[in-house]
Amino acid sequence: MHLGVFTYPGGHHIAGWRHDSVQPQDILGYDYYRRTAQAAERGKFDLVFVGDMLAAREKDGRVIAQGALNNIDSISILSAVAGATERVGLVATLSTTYNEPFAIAQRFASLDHLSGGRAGWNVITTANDDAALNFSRKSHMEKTMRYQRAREFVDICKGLWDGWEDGAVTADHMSGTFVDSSKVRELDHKGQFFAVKGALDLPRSPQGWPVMVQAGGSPAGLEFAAMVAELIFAAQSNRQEAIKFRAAVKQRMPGHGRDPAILKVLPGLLPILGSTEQEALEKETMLNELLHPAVGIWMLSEQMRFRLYDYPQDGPLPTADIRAGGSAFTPRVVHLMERADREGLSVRDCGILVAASRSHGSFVGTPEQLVDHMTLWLDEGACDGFNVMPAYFHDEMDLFVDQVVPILQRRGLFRRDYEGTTLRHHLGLPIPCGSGR
Amino acid sequence: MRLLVGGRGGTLHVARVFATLDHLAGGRTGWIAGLEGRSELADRVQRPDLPTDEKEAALRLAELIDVARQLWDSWEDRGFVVDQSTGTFADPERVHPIDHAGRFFTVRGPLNVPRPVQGQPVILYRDVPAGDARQGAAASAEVVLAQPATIAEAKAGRADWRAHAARHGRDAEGLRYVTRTIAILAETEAAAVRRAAELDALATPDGAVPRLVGTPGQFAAHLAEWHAAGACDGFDILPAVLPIDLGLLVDAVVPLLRQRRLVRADYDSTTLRGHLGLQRAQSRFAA
Repeated sequence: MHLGVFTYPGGHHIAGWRHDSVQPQDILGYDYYRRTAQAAERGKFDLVFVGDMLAAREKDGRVIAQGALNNIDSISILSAVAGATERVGLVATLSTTYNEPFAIAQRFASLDHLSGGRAGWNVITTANDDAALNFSRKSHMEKTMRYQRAREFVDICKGLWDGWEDGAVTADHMSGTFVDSSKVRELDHKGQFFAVKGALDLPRSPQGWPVMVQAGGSPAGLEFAAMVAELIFAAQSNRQEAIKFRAAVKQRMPGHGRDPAILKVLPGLLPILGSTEQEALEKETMLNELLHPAVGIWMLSEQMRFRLYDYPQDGPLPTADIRAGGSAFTPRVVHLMERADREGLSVRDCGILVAASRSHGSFVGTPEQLVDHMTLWLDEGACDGFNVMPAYFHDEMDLFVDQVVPILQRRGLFRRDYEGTTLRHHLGLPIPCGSGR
Repeated sequence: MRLLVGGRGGTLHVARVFATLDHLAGGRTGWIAGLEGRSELADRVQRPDLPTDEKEAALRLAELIDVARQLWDSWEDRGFVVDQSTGTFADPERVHPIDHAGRFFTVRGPLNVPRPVQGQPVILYRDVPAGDARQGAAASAEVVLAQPATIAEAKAGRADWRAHAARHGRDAEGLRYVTRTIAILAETEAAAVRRAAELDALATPDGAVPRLVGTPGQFAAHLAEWHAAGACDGFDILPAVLPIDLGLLVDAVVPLLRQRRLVRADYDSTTLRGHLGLQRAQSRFAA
């Protein structure tokens, strides 16, 4: 089993920052992130994961008062904590929609060098009109275009990383030769979106490429994952669907000349733990009571691209109106609407569901029960591990590390210690063979 | 840090990265803005929209810095509320869109990082030629990294930068003009000269940055002389060989400067602005 932790200011329950144990003034400081990364390493986790958003959480041009923030800059956080850790992998999310391949190739090569081969890149596209307005655009880029751009973006980065052969840096004191230029090849790319000519100004990093991670679950995202992903951070809360999703990506991989066996799928998992089931349920209730209803309705409206503000909160989710609105719904939204119809969920219920775990899987119970749940997912082929999303930091993360990990280890499901030093090693991934290997 | 800002996007990335670093570092961040290596990089990324003309490039950089500073200001200090009892994370009245629509960039904002610890990270500028470029840079430069060869040249450069800053309505005295010097040091002058000759034999220096070859005592006297003459507000010292020359700078030169009371014996501030004697930046949106 592979484990990651998704770090987040406050916690993954949207009201997590209100928990007594959280010092909310500290959630942007170095110690906050260092503590999470060191807890992950203490628990022998594969990786620490950081997201990326390029606009504040807003409604009608104003930030949301009850939860305005998402992650601050991912590579900055991970570069800082690289110095406070030795083994744990460092996965940063950066968008291909509003960046330049040369700059991104540089940033990941730097992170991989300074962490000794622990970098991973969660490759995303950005479909957010608020972000578009921050980048001299009027609306977000259309989906097909975004994924075409993402493919070309990744190709360029790989070309740049492969431009330096191993052994290109000779640093020969005697002859004064630092670089053997016969081992550095210039990229000469001209494509639909980018033209890049030249070599990266950094030698090949320990892993060759950062581990390539992907997170989108739409049909276009799935095809892109089959093409580039070595690890998928999946938003799956239903086991049967998770099984289908994982199989679907693996099935598409040979078509892109890739071995499906290497793929690792880690769904997000928000655990709420208690020493008894009752205690865990009480904790969940307490967190949901801290959740301001306005945040739930806002998150729901954003996800559904449908304004729910004027509907009665205790009335049923107006799925007929939402469907008539005709947006291209993500699989998560479709799933939620089906569930709302089936279970008769209210607007408020759905808001809590979305805000409490941001549509990822959650689990409420004792550590033993959680391990049973995780084992079932693993055994049935729904995943290869989990990206743990603690409801709030740091207590919930410490609880997972100190009470869940030892059970996983006792049952022989998880490593007792690291065997390698790179993220590729932790995940059992091959080192990409660059030019000249 | 070098950040490539291509196309009409990217200002948000710069503001976001530096705001993040300033939070992580507790207020110790500065951004060295400059056009050095620009044409080479532009060549590599082949952005037809990156200006190749010096003057255009300088205007673009000035706008980039202006937008970054607006974005840092977009959260007033009191915008980041995080009141657990009421559940108020942010005050929407104190987090502002910037609605910037300029020649090179269109950015609505606000930034999605609360106000940096220093208000704004320090803007350091590599010296630019006198004239329009310097006038533009003086709108935002707080520290100038210059490499004058003589005291007279330094005094003229410092006075000119201060005059430009004053023309922008800024406090001219607040501008920090810092000069660069390569240090090649040894316990005796003869040994230092020998080290310099050895280094020069390995690779020919380009001669752009002035250098001083000598003992720690000579180096300290040189800095004191420039300081006393009003040539600069400080020094950006480039150790010729990092471990050797940095070691001598810290262990031998700094104690001599301390004896002359030219450098602090200990930090009396926790931020880079504090070290430089610069005020914390106030948000333009704060009432």
